[in-house]
Amino acid sequence: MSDTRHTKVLIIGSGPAGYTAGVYASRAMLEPILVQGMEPGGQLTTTTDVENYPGYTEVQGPDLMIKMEEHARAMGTEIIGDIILDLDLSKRPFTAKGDSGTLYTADTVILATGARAKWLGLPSEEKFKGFGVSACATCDGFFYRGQEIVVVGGGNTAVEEALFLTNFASKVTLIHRRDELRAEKILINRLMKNEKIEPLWDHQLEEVVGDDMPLGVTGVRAKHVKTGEITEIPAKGVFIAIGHAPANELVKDVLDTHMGGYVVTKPDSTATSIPGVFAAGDLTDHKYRQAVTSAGMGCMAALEAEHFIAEQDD
Amino acid sequence: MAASSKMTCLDCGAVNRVPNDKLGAGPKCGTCGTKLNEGKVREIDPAILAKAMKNDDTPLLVDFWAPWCGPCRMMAPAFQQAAGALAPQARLAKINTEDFPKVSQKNNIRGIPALILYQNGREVARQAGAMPANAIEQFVRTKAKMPG
Ligand SMILES: Cc1cc2nc3c(=O)[nH]c(=O)nc-3n(C[C@H](O)[C@H](O)[C@H](O)COP(=O)(O)OP(=O)(O)OC[C@H]3O[C@@H](n4cnc5c(N)ncnc54)[C@H](O)[C@@H]3O)c2cc1C
Ligand SMILES: [Zn+2]
Repeated sequence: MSDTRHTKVLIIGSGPAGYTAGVYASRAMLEPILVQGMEPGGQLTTTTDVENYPGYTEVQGPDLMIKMEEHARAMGTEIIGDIILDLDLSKRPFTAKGDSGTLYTADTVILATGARAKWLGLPSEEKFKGFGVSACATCDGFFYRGQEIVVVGGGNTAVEEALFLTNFASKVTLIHRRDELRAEKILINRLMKNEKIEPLWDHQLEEVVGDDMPLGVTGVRAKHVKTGEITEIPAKGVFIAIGHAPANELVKDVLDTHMGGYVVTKPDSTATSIPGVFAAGDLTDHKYRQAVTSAGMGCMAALEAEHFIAEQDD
Repeated sequence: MAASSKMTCLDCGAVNRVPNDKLGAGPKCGTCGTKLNEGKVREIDPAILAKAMKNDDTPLLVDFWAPWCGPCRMMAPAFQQAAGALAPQARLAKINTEDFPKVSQKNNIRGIPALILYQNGREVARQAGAMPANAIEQFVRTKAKMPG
């Protein structure tokens, strides 16, 4: 079953950038199609309280994203649950191949694929994903009540996750490859005061170990970065919190990127190096990486797409 | 042998036998009268799950979820859509792991959403993490033996 859908504006991604682009493009009567990807709602669906989105003193991340989706739909955005596997930006109309078999053709493309959690890239990590290895403490922490957990990382996310996980776990070992954390002072203080958390400095995760029947983590092997000495730590859960990387797979070979893969846009603009292709949100933003800035860029991208289409029609 | 499929009523737990050529005719539970497969996701409890797991040769895909899990909530519309697309050959249900914490221990759930596909008394396949509707449908069609 393969069909072809044409649209003036194809929005790829359903985070704050994508939905905001949907709102603006719909109001410009461009009848946009938005493809949600494997993570409908984007990164904010993996957190609980959001306290810095204007208009909400406090809102749950998933609730905010459901509201944004409803908003985009109400304005007329067609929202499709599909994943773009392949994107051809070499000629217009641009074409995008969906996992569902649908082929999307588009006069303009707004890339809003955001960022996703980085993984270490170990085969053992891949093997146990969903079976003890996780990148979402708020989703999975509950399953580790009274058990020992390992958190890997040394930034804000790692510290926040370690603190959050003490609500469930009997012990949390924080493995960090340096001997100091790169997190906010207030978080570090809280971490140091928490008796359930034990930092393991100067170590990196060497391997996740576990059972095959049933599949599940039983511990980790960590290696001292200087001496090479191996420490084995029993754990039922391993939470990887080593930061986020831009989700640039679709475009990294055809668009300019910098600072570790972020798509380059023109100054004060969301225009990329290909006319008619715009990029918004965490995919382009190595600096702020916030919901509100992503939404702002989504707005800019839609307005720029509108302008681009109007010029083509002249 | 006239092909038929066993399916547990997800409402009362009675085991029904439905001829495969009648699967699409809106079969009802012989005990309580509830439609056996309306193409809708049913919320079930561990007792019903245990029965369906043991008895059904109709594929049953169960979504282990929880209200605090954003990705689970975001996947709900896709899961519903897949339930519509897979009826009348397969059924989709969900179980709340917050209300029934033991069920996750028993099924070795360590992360959600987790989708487990059951057929003929055993776990046929498992998927960790959310998927769009079309991928959920393909998952069931390729991993289960579809009746009829
Ligand atoms: C745990 C956590 C807590 C956070 N807390 C806050 C906070 O309190 N306040 C704040 O302002 N920010 C917070 N952030 C950051 C914020 O979530 C991001 O800045 C924001 O979500 C970025 O939005 P985005 O639209 O660029 O993309 P994302 O939210 O990253 O969404 C990307 C979208 O692209 C889709 N996609 C990817 N690849 C494809 C593909 N091939 N085909 C189709 N679709 C695709 C995905 O499915 C997803 O929907 C937090 C982030 C995390 C991880
Ligand atoms: Zn019944």
